[in-house]
Amino acid sequence: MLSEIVRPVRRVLQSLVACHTPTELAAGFTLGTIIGLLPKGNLIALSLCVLLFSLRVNKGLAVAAAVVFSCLATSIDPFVHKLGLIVLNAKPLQLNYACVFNLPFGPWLGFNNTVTSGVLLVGIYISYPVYYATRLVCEHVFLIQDPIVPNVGHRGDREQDIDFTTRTAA
Amino acid sequence: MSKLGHWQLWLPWLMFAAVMLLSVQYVLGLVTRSKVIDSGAAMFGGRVDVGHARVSIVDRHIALHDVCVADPRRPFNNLVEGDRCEFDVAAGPLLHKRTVIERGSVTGLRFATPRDESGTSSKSRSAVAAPSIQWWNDTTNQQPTEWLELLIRRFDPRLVNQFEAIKQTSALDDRVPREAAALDKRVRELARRAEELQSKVNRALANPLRNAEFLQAIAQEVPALQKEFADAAAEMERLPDSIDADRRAIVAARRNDEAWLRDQLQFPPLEAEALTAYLLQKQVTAPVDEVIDLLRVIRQIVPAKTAASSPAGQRGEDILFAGCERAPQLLVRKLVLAGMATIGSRRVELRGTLSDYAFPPALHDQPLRVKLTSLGSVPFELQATVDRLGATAHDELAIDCQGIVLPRTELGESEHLRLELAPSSGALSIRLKLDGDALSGEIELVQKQVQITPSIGRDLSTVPITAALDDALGNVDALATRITISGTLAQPRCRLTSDLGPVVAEGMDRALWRATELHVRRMMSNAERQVDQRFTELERQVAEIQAELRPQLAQAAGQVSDIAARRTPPQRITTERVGRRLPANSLFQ
Repeated sequence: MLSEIVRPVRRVLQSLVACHTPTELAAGFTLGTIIGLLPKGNLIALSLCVLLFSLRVNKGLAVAAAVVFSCLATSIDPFVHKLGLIVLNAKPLQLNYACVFNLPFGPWLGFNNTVTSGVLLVGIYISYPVYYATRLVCEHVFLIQDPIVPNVGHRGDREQDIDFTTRTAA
Repeated sequence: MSKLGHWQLWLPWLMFAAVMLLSVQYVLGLVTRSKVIDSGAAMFGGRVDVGHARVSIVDRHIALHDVCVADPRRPFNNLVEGDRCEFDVAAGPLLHKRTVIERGSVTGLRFATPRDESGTSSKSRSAVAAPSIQWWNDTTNQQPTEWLELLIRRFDPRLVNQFEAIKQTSALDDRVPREAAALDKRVRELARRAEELQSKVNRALANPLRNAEFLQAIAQEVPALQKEFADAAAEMERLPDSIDADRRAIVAARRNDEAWLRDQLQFPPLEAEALTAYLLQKQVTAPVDEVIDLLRVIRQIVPAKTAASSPAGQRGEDILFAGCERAPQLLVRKLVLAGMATIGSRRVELRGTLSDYAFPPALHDQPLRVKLTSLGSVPFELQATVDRLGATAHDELAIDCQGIVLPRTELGESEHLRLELAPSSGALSIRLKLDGDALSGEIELVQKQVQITPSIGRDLSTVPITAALDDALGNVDALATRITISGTLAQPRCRLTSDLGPVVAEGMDRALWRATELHVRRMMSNAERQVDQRFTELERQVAEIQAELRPQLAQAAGQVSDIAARRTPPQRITTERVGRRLPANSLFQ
């Protein structure tokens, strides 16, 4: 009876801690960083959230990163505002921007906001370095914790390795 | 069977979709309610309460129930209250993040209703305390009060003591008893002296030879005493003559007194404008403040300058791309309004429309218009235009109300003079314009079938003007009052003109003329009576004194005459005189 009651909680926790290979952790952290830095209340942020929960990435680390970077986001606002201002005021792109903006749901995207555009550009720019650095850190941590497993994280898929072993054994 | 199986397959999905739709609808209702409360508090500056909200996605329809907007200036009053608000929202603009209400209705509108809880909330804007209006020539309000106080002083019955006749009579009143007392004392002294002389003479005559020298001296003293008696008698007889002379002088002074009193009762003219201000200013200040407050509320709901396009707390700046047009975030094309209002102590049913409300208002090509008309016996029409299209904000407010029933009113500030207006019917017309901050307009009230009853305070009870004033005001049938408004919304200035001031001033002039004549007659007769009373008293006193002193004087004078008669000069004893005294047959004769 009790297990029935706590099952949803257990599933939420499982979904948060699932996908814990260094690659998935790094991908979750990267997505969470971008979501955290973005202003909320627009379709871009919402789409990234949907993407986060759709992909096989670590949701727990992503949510934690989103919370942490949400708190730090305002500190980089002056920079991303200037960047967004430059990009959005680029005259050759005005017609394209206007076309997108005038589409249904165009204003809901919020890309006409300088900070949103700036953060999106910065997010895209830093996504791979963040991903790479996070993966390295995760691999290093896993090596310290479990030095027996050879070449762990080289492909970055520890769970698959274990599953493969299990399946082979079976 | 395959159909049934097919049915069993899609029915759960359909039910799931329905449940999801209903859930979304419910959540949207909560979100809409929250949004209305927040944006309403930001718009009106006071707390906004919504009973519940219902959103229909299929019909694109929003219904709000039991909406109350608190008055930020009076936390325990609602600015407006509505039973049901329904809005038909256009779907297309929603995709472009704009809310357009094509049509809607607000029913069960009520204004200025009381509320149980305070209408202030943390999200409310602090309401600016509305400053009271300033009147042109504010000091003129005091002039009638000072004038009436002068009236009280000049009509004081104690002023009779300043009459020359009264003063002279008082002086005479002091002098005559003093003179009478002196005369009495003098007569008594003379009588005493006569008595003393009499006794001395009697003693001297018992032995004339021995008192020969004394008797010689008496011979000189008696005429002097007789002269003194004659003087005293003459003085006593002169007393009535002196009073008569004074009476003639007082009669002459009385004529001067009348002239002096008439001069005292010459009053400076009472300015009609000042009297209007004295009678009406206090009574009209609150209603005029309310009307100007209505403009302040309009300015609060639709500010003259829209704040920065970025809402508070938004990060960054929204860029408008070339080729895109700014459009209002919220546009209400037409709202049908229905409700009740209290106009001139009567409940009136109102119907009207609100059209072209936009936020920000400058982004819409039409000004906001509100029109409300009454149904029933009291014709009422309100039209408001709020134009933010130009560089200068332009607001107009026009109210026409015919057949408004005005309750019994008391006019006048102080206890000196009050006018009581019986309930009457009237026509109210308000035209106000607000260009930028410059306020202009007029408020006109025409009252018909007016009955004015003047009442005079206790201080003025000595001034007989009530009846005359009543006669003068009894002919007044209609009154027109006009308030011209200028200045700014923060510091409005008003000028008050009315028929009432000139009518009362004219009535007061006539009443005062009659009162002056009556007062002069009354004061003069009062003075005459006082003088006569005192003269009668003086004459009586003089007569008594004369009656008392005359016998004393006569008796004493008689004694002196007797002394004079008995007095025989002492003769030297000669042989011849002795011989003559001897008998004839005496040897020595």
